[in-house]
Amino acid sequence: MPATVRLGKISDSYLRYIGPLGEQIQAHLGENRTTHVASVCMDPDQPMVPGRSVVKFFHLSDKGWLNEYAAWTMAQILGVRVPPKAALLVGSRSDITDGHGPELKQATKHVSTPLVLWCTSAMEPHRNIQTALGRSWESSVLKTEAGRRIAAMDGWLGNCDRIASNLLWWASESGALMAIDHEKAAFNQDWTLKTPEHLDEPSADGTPARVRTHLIDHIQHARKSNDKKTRQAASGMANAISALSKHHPDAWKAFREDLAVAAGNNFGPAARDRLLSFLDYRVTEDSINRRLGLVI
Amino acid sequence: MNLLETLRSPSVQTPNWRGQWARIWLQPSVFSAQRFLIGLAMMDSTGLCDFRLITGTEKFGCIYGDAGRDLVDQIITQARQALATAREHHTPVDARTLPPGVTIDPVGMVADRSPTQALETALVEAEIPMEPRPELVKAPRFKSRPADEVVAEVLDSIRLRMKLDANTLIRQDHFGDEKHTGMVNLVRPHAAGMVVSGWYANSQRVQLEFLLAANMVESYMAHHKKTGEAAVFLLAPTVEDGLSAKQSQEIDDALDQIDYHLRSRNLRSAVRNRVDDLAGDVAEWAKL
Repeated sequence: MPATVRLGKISDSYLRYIGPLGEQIQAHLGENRTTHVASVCMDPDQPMVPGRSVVKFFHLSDKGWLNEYAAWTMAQILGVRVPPKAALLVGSRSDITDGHGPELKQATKHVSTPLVLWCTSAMEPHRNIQTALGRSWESSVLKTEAGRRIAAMDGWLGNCDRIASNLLWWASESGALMAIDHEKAAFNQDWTLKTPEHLDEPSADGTPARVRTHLIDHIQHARKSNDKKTRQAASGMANAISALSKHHPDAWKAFREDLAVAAGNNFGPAARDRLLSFLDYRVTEDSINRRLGLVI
Repeated sequence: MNLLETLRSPSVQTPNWRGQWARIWLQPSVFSAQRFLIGLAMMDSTGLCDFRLITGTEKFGCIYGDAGRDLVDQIITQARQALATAREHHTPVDARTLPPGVTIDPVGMVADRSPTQALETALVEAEIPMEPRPELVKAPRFKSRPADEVVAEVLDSIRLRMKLDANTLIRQDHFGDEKHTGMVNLVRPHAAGMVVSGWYANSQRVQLEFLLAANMVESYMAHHKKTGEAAVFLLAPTVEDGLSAKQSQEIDDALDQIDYHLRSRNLRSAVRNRVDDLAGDVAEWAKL
């Protein structure tokens, strides 16, 4: 049974401002201007027990929080490692005081609509993936099963922001990859306004893909290499990701209804349909093959 | 899930106490910017509610020596007394209340059942999720084995698989002129073959054994005017048997190279890592 996101209110679940991200956690990872560290009740089973959390602010009408929610829940179902606890806290401007720190204070200065805070467990200790695996970290990541799972999930969600700082090298016994920051899913297109395009697919007239998700882009570059072994390895990885992506329809079936309710209730039926049609198509074999360049 | 509904819903639990928390720092030397976190304090709008200071100062001894540690002990004791007084009278704390070198640095809001509870939570809430430690399995070391023993094991496996038919195929004893081809251990009416050990860590040695066997089988076939398909069956170790990945790759590469040449000489070759698999290949060749 995958973990679920806790829903709560800022007034009763945000318990302590701890500090800016860089001061509390060694590297600035997965952050926007409002990201900070706080003590938040994130556990649905123990709503009174706080934990150290990385907190990010969104407007209620911002697609970013739903992208984060969708990706975190999908990751749980797909076996992609993400921070173990997550919460969505909602509140109004009056809930934010000077004591909530400069990040929230500044961001909510002129806000009149409800605020949403996306909170996930602050993971310590960890290292920047480039420090841990070197500059060609993508190759090292893609050699692991966990890395290919992340690449497959990013491909499906159209998460175009898997830069080095959005992949933690969690310094456990054997080292483990942990995916964070998915607010730019659907190629950062605002599905609340229009249906997102599949930017990573070549168009019918042969125009190549405009944007690709980071790890799949790395594979596509490797497939054009002059070195035969590099080309073979890249093809092998593309096939492995394709095989992993074949499990996505089942995972999508398990979560589609929940996401439909969440998107419909908070963004309206039109936005919901746009998001669902985007994800419905990307889970098909045709879409998987097209974005991986296996069938043109 | 509807966040607006969540916002409108009544609070599940509201913390009874709201205030501000602060870190308490000690700067032992005014000539150095180095400072150490020595405690936490919880305050509300009227003054100090509760605090905790460190009790062990052993680590200061490592940096400043025993005399320095005594001084740190004294400063912390004075700070504790000043903070206790402020807590008792519920008065604000500032730099003038505290001994020299100790500062109080307000951080942000805090909410909990009580100031004491907030202090306890702040001290223990850091969460380090653990994952199971992978079992450390020592990689096996490669053990060389006598060639006779390896070949005998494969032949036994062939006997198990082919039952009585194996007696007409396996030739372990050679007499008279045949003694010089004594290594050829599989003989069919129109062909001959050989089970050979490649149980070595050195790729060149494996390559050499393979080529020697191929030569021997071809000589035997020519000598006995056999025109069928000659065959060489080689058992080679893998990483699981203690070879390094590099050694295993070198052996694979070396055998791939020979395999191509042997095929062009109409010589069947099979390289396997398991005895049963190799016996299966022999049985298949014997039925042709």
